[in-house]
Amino acid sequence: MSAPILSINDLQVTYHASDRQVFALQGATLKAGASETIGVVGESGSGKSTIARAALGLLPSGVAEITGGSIAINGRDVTGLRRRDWQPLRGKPIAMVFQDPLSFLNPVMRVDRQIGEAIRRHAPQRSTKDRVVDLLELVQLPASVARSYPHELSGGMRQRVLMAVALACEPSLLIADEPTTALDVTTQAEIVKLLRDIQRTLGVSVLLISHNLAVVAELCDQMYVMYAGRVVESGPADEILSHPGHPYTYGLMTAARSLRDADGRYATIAGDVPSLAERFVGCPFAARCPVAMEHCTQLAPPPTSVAGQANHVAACWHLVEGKGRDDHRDIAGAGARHEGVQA
Amino acid sequence: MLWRRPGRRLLNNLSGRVSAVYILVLVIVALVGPLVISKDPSQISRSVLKPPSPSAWFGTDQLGRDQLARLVDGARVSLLVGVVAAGMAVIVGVLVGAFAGFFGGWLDIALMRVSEFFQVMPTLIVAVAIVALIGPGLFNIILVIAMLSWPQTARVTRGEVLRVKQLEYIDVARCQGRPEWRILLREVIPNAIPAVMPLIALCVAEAILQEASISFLGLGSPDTISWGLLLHDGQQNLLRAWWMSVIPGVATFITVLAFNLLGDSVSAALNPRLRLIGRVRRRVKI
Repeated sequence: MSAPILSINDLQVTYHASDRQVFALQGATLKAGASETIGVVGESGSGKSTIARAALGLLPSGVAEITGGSIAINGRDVTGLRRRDWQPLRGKPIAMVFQDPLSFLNPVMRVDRQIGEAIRRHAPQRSTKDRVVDLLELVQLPASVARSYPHELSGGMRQRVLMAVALACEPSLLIADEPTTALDVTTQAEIVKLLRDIQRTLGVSVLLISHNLAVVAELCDQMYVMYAGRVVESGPADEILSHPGHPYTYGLMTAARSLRDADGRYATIAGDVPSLAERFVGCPFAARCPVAMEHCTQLAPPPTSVAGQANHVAACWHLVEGKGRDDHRDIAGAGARHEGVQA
Repeated sequence: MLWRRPGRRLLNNLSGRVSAVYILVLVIVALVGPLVISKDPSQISRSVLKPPSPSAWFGTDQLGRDQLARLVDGARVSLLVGVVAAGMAVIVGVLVGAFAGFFGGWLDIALMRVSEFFQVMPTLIVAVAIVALIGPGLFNIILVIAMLSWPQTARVTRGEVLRVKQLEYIDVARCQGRPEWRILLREVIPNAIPAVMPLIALCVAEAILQEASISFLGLGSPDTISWGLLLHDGQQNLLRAWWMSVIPGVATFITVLAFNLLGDSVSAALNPRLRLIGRVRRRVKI
């Protein structure tokens, strides 16, 4: 088996502010092979976007620092690469689609030129004009869009243009950082469908970053759940969604599945996302976990396979100690409902 | 397309409209005036120091040369110096500012120190010193003026580039693996230019004034007729022939004022906040 397109191993990223540090990633492991669809879910601030930026060498220089772990693209270690050396690695092996489609398009350039710039860099032998039309067709936009400025387009159209720009680089992995967040629900569904179509027709791998479980469930084969800068659970998406191994995953799913329960309470996970101003000694979720045990705050749980599935892994002491899954889910479920907000 | 609306806003603004029209007229006068006016601006005659009259609208100078012909001829030089010097200063300033702001680090520090060096020099004194050193030709004067006025553009451009370069679409360009210099050229500079636009007109005004100052001090070439040279001649006959000083003085004043007003109007037309106020005001009027 050849090396995965993107392989991130125990990555640690720290942001330095003038008076404090933020440990944004505290050990995140992720792999993206050929023709795969991978989802990364987590709350705001869980490190999803930091992973994506690190994978393209786009961490803000001077502020962010990779303090541990490694990133490899097509088997080549790129962890400490200098800014200049990143350039040939961007676009062709890995391209990126960002979340807010207006601010990610150049306001003074027509769409065809923005796509053309990417084509010129990566496939200059072909006629740029034809290729722009092809790409617009691929993202299901009329050819007339080519002569428009970004402000003349709707949010969904802009998101498609951004996808065309990314696809113009002919990537083997497309990272989509919350591509549907800035859009309304119907447009979201269209973009999700488009992503799936593109993944199928072009055979590119897609790494989808989202806080929307439904989108990930719909699109992805593999799934990573992130919490407070760590991957707490990973495995095949349907496996995770049917048998969540980590109490946090379970809490997320409960919150997503039912907005309110019979008592009119919202299903929430009690407490707040922990501050990333310090490194966690134990499990980062321990403070909010309904089934936390004493040693959860003192020792980090090792990744453990869930229900005997070798590719489904979660980091939770309950799994290590071999507690029954159903048992654990009952406790987690009760806890997740425990402190719901009164409607 | 993108510029149509600011353009219309510029002309909706009274001072913008007046100054734009004045500058347009001045340019036309400078271009075709010498062809229309039959008198040769260098032709001396016996009617010296004659006040304005129907035969010589703006009077004559100490050598009997027609002042109107000289003023029109001088407009060409003043405008040429203004536009070319400002153009050079803006191009150099934009490039220096863009490189400094975009690449940062030691390049930024070095370029900004150089620009500060030029900025703190007393402009007129240095201009006079350099012209005295390298000679008074028109091109030399243009060069000196450009050399002393690029730092302002450089600083404004740098500030704007610092803002633009951390915008999201620059990351998108980076994600395509495009070379940094190309990102600077195609993405950053076009988006930083609007901040520099008002400066262009101000730079022209400044350059016209500096050329006039240099020539007034007698450091311009004596056979290049410019408004500064007319003022220089006028000053020597100040008590005998007021028209020799007042008319070119007023012309210089109005022209510099017009370019300044144009610069202000351009900046107002490009300012999104003032834009909104204008729209509301118009609605209230209706």
